[in-house]
Amino acid sequence: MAGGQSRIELLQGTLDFIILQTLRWEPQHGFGLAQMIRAHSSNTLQVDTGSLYPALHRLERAKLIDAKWGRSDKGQRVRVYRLTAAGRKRLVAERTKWERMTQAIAGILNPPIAEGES
Amino acid sequence: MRWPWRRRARERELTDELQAHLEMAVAQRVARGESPEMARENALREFGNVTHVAEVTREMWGGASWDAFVRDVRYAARGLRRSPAFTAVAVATLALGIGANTAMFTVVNGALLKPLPFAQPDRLVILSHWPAEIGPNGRPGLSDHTFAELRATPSRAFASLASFSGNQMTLTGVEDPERLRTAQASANLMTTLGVAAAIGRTFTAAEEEVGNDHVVLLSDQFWRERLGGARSVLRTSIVLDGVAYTVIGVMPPTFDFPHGAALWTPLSARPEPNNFVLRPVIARLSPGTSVEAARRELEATLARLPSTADEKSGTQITAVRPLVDLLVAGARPSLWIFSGAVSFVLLIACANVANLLLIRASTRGHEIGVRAALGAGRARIICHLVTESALVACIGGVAGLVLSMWGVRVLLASAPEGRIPRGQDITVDWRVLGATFGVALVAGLACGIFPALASTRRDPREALATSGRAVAGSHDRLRRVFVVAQLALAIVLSTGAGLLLKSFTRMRAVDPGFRASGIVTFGASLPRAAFPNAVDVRTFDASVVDRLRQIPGVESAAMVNWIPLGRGGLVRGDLHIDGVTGMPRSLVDKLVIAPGYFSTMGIKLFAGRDFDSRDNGSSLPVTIVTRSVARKLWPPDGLGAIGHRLTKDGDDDWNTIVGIVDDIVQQGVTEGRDGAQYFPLAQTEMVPFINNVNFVMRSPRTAGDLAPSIRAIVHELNAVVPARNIRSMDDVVAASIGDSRFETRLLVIFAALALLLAAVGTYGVLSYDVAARTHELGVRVALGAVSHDVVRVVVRRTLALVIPGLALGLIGALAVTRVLQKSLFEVTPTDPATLVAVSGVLLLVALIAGFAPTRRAIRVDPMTALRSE
Repeated sequence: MAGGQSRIELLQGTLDFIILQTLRWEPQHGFGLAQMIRAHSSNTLQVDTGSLYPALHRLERAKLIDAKWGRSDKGQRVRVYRLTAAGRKRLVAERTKWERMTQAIAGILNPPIAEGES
Repeated sequence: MRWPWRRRARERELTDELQAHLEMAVAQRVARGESPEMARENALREFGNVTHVAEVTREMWGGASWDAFVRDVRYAARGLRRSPAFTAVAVATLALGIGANTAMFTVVNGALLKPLPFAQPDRLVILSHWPAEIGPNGRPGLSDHTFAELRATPSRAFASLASFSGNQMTLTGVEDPERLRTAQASANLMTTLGVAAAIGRTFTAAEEEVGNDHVVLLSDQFWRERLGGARSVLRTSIVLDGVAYTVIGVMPPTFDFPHGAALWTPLSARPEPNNFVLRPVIARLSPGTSVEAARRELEATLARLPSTADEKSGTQITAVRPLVDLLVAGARPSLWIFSGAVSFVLLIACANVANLLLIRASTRGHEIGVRAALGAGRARIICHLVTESALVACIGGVAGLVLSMWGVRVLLASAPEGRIPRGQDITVDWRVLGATFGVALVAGLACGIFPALASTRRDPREALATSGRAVAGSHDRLRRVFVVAQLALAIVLSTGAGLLLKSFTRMRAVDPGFRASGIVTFGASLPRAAFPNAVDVRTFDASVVDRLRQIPGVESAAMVNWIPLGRGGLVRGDLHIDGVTGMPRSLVDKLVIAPGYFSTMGIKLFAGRDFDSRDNGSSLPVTIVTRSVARKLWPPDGLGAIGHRLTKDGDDDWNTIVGIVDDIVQQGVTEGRDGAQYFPLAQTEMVPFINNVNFVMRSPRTAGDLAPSIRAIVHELNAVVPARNIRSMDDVVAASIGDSRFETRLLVIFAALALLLAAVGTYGVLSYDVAARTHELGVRVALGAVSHDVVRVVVRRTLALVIPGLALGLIGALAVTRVLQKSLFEVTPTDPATLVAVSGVLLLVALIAGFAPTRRAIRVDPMTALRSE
């Protein structure tokens, strides 16, 4: 709710990347993921559950993450997602791409510097 | 993961997962100090629509998931319900196509593909050894001598050798005596085939010995139908050919070898000097022996055996073939031809349905456009359209399966005896079901994919702009291609049918040399036990003839040992003229007749006289020859034959020629007329020549009408001899070309079906054409075109379809009809008259198909047509 206009709708590819990136540290359940993404983006990125869960299930089907039933620290029965080896590999690739992309966009935003390639 | 049961668990997990999310959100808010109610409300608002979230998440589970499939099928079913006429025509067309194919496949599967119902049937082979001039397709067999020697020779290739032969025996000692189809089997036949008796036991080796061989094995059917099916039948006796046989066992119901045998007696194949019988010999290959290795061993062994060693090598063919060949080799080519023909019918049906779908797709351009505009991908729309055609095909498949069960029954019932082998194996099994389902699916995809691809190729904006009306000329080319292909296939089938029809007509037109109409005939077989001497046999045969002549309405009667065009063994032999040496060998038919045979049969007597009552055992031995024999031996006109004496080579029984008669067809109308030599019954001493005979009588009365009197006479003369096969000579002639009749009829039905479907296809395209060109036609009429101009337009369109179809079809026919060569009589596979006739028929059919659209075109009212634009 907070942030109003400043929230950004996430594109599908972006959300996948963010999920993988967030799961890099530790396995997490859906609610936790939503919380972490919001917190890490200083409330800028708001993940809609209608996007989050389809994304999680899609990634699971692509075998980039896998899921197990477990308990949260408060004892709630939750479905915990974990990065798979394939997911880790994909994350590395995506990161490179994102870094080049942000550089490129930064280049466009600050024209005098240099031409960027993608 | 895609399966419905797995899915339900998955659904539950998803609900749990989303619920957990909500609970945690609530707990977090409560921890922050919100009241539980507020917390829940806010959490729910933040979460959004739970059902929607669950739904979009589920969609990630896979495009081919069960749900999506069910959705597509439901959607397709709705679409089909909306257009019942289209659905009915498409389903009916495919049902016909698939039904015909399933019926044919059921037969092919049962007759050719199913393994024989024996243990390890692929290890069973049939051995043969015969003179090279017979060719590779003769009936396989070995002489009794060779069989006996071969069995006594140690073999590495063959684990066991068995033989059998078909037989007929008369069952008596029951209320109505019956002539049964039976078989003689070497003692080890059943063990070689790997089939045990269901009750009792099979033969022992000792039962092949004369004296021990009065034992019998019963077929399940005979045991149930004639003997009541009680187990107590073991060790009881039944009387066969006047001799008591002890029942030692009953075979299982699945055992039907050789086909139709009611019972089996031991085969005592005694290698006596005058035994020239050839019988099929079955062997079970030893483990690891290949057919070729077995053939080599057999060839080597035969070269050493006393009975075969003196034959010159190279003049004999030694073969080892799979046992299944013995049963089905004769039917295989024609069954495959019919399968090919029937697959043409299915192709035509598919083209029809594809055309219907194309037309339907073009009227649905708008709907498709809307869906595309709403974001459905092309793949998704194609998927929907193909699901629709697959659904049509599946319904058609089920209907076709039902249709095929009826079709198989009709097919088997109308096939002449023995034309389709292994009738008991011809049933719907998993293979038939699988094939039907497979064919339906492939047909559905095949008819669906092109229309789906074609109709989704358009830009949705363009599709929307047409606002739901059919677009003239869309997919025009594709539709034309389908119709041309249909017409071409129909031509190929019709040419085949036309050739068979012409050939069959030629067969029927053959003059057999006798007048068949008005003749009634029947057979009688005198068991050796009841008629041991030639005198008894002659007396019986002659008494029957005498009594037949007394039946009211019978003008004349006679007896012959071989009825022309009948089945069984026709005796042939060579001739030797008194005083001439070094005559070339020439085989002629040797027949025994009673006086009056020629006049009864309507066979012309050219010179001399018929046999009569003066020719008897104590008078001069006489004979009658046919004209071709006389001409060949006493050229030029053969009249010089009378008075000369004939015998068979090396024999001293001279017969004086007293008459010359016309040649007649003996073995088949397609075989031509045979040279023959006739002997009088009264002078015949060899019992096997005259104890299996036929009687003929000329009468205006029908066979059914005469049957009671015939039965009564035969029964009165001897209670153990049944009169069998009482029928008209016309029936005998018809039965002799029964195979051709059957093949012709079947192919004509397929061709008619093909033409009908092709006509429907042509009609569809032309009607659509006219409908789509209403505007154009309206303009033409408005500009002063008169009705025959309009007709010309439509006829030109028709010809544009027919001419390429005809050209392709004729090329196809020339390439394909060669497979019919063996079935054709006096007709070449490229018979020009047939090709012309078939082209004419097709043209006519196409014009008829174009008639209604043409009429509609003439009636186009320019005002309405122009206003509608």
